[in-house]
Amino acid sequence: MRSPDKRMVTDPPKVLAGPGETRGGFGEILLSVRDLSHRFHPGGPLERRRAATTQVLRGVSLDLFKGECLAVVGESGSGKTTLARAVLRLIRPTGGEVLFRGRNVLEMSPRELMAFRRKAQIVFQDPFGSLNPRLRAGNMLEEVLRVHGGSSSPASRRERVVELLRLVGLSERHGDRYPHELSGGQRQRLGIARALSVGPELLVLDEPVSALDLSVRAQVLNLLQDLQQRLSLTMLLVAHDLSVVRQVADRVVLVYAGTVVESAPVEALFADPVHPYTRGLMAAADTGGVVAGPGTIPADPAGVASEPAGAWALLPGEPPSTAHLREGCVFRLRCPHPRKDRECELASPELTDYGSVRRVACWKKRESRTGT
Amino acid sequence: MSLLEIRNLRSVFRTRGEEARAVDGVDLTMERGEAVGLVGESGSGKTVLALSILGLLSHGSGRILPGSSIRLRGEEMVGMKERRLRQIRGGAVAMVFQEPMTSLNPVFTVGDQVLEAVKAHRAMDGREGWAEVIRLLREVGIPEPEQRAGAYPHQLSGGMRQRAMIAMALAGSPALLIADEPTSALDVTVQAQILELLKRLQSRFHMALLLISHDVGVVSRVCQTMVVLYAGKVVEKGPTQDILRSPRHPYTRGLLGSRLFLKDRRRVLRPIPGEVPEANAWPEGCRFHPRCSEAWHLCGREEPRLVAMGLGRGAGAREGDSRVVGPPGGSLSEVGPTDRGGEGRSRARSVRCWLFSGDLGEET
Repeated sequence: MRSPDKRMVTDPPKVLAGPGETRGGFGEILLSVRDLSHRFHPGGPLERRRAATTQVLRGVSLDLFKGECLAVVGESGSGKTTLARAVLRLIRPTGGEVLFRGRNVLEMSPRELMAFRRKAQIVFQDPFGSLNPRLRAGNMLEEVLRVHGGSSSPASRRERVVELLRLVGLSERHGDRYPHELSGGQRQRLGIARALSVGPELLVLDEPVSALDLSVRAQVLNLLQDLQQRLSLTMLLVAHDLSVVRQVADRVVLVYAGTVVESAPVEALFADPVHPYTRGLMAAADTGGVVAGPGTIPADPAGVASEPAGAWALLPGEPPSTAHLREGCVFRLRCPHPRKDRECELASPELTDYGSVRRVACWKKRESRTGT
Repeated sequence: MSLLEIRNLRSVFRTRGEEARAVDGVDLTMERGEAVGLVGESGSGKTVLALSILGLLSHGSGRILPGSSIRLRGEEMVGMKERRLRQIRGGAVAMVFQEPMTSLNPVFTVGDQVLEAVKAHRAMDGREGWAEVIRLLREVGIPEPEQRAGAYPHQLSGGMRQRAMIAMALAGSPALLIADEPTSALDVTVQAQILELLKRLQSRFHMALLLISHDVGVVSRVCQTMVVLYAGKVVEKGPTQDILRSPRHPYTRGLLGSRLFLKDRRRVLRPIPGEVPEANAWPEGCRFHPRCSEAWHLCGREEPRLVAMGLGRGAGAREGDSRVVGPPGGSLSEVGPTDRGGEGRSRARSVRCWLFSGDLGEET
């Protein structure tokens, strides 16, 4: 990183989301992430002694407006899950700030943190791994209400449990079941009920549908969109699946190797992805439109240079192990069009404005824009 | 003679002391060099089907029921001696699993494991064998194969591990490669690479490919023929393009309706209500009827058969035997590589649904 993106702090919201560019037209910033970075020591004590660290997040900044759904998209190792957890202080990032209504979450006292957790909740990817196997669904929800609910009576808590189950499309009888007696979709609904039980404003969703079957995934996405409207939730959606993001998000932030490479309103992004990584991701994810697309084998029997699905080439290589990155643009090793001069190798491009509504971190894009 | 002919396959596996019929009367024919995509959600029986073909079910806690038949080039595999099965496994039929990390042995180098596969099926001395290993690793797109052959599985990325698994599968020059969710554990950009690789290998070696996936998009990228499995039964099959263009079975329609696209946001998602039932509690009648928006009284009582769809609208003859679905015996196996696209197209559509049963009119 050359320098952290300080400018964004004072920028008016329109830099990130211009009026009319998103569904709602958002004003108030609910959550700000400022120059967040995180390193950890991989492996066991032996490796720790070698003092090798992996930098998972490298100065990520983003704003989350009240009532919107912001998607953070990336592949494994991009740091997206670390970001989601750091936002809720489920881990302590090694640098940067997370501001919730202006208060730094990372410096909250235990009492403040408890209050914050009533305002911000998380839904995990694997509902089975995040539910207590020895508690019935109803009892589990009751426990959350007891911990967070203050002095409410047992009767009112039980009433609230039924209300919550219904809210997420489960029935009262599901409350008597253990997690293993529920299907994957039902478990994820229960995970959502658990998160909603405290009446949060912010819901962090960490790959909420990637473990679900196709037909159930659509049910859960419908539920999430419905809940967002009914409860006016603000959502931070962490996902790797662009089609899911397309369906539910208002704005999208793409992360690669712990760095934001592009951020844009969802319509603009999908109409015209700018960063080469975004384009590669779209080419890889595009399995054709309504009709099969490139379904059958190409006529060329060798088929070596078979056509990629979209207009952009499939990316070579794999997401990098963040430990090995040193100088330069994090994406340069997989970039299909690096700059001829050695700019991409020498320094990391900052996230800068590209047009009126988006921001891109790419030397090439900067060059082509100044050129025209 | 077809490469693979599965007739009335019924397989059970034991779960919590009970036998659950995961695959219940599946017919499937595959020709040489054909890519067939098997689509189904979890619990549809697709993995049990794959394990049945390889004769791997008896090793765990399941078995193939009597009356089932799986013929590979005419040779019956159900009830086959273990010795012969071992020759076929990894030889004529190879398999690639979802999670390469758990399928590779962590204490041997990737090269050694590919070498073991090579030696199991071909008489080669060490030097020849190693040269073959390097050739295979290069074939599957592993860069610097001489160096990578010495790497342990944990030293490779997920995509490279899956490539190594594919190299092992290729070691016996299989006529049929079964790939069970080969890309589900991989990153999106790597998924696309592995699919391209499978497509290239299938085409280059004229190898039949049975690609199992929950993702219609994955199947549509690689396979000419698509088979949709629900609750242990084939509910629809036909050329991939045709099914995507005009799905007939309400389940297939629901499945396609649940897909999301990059091009535009769907105004309303219309998911199929409910979930796939458990394998030991299939509903009476049509197994999809409790979730079906078009079900009527007959659907809950009697099970529809898989019928071939004629060219006319919904005018399939009510032939219970799906032999009417398959191509005339052996006639397609001689088709050269350049005509490959025709194989899929020549296959009839077939659907298991009362809405498309020919004599439905008379019964009402």
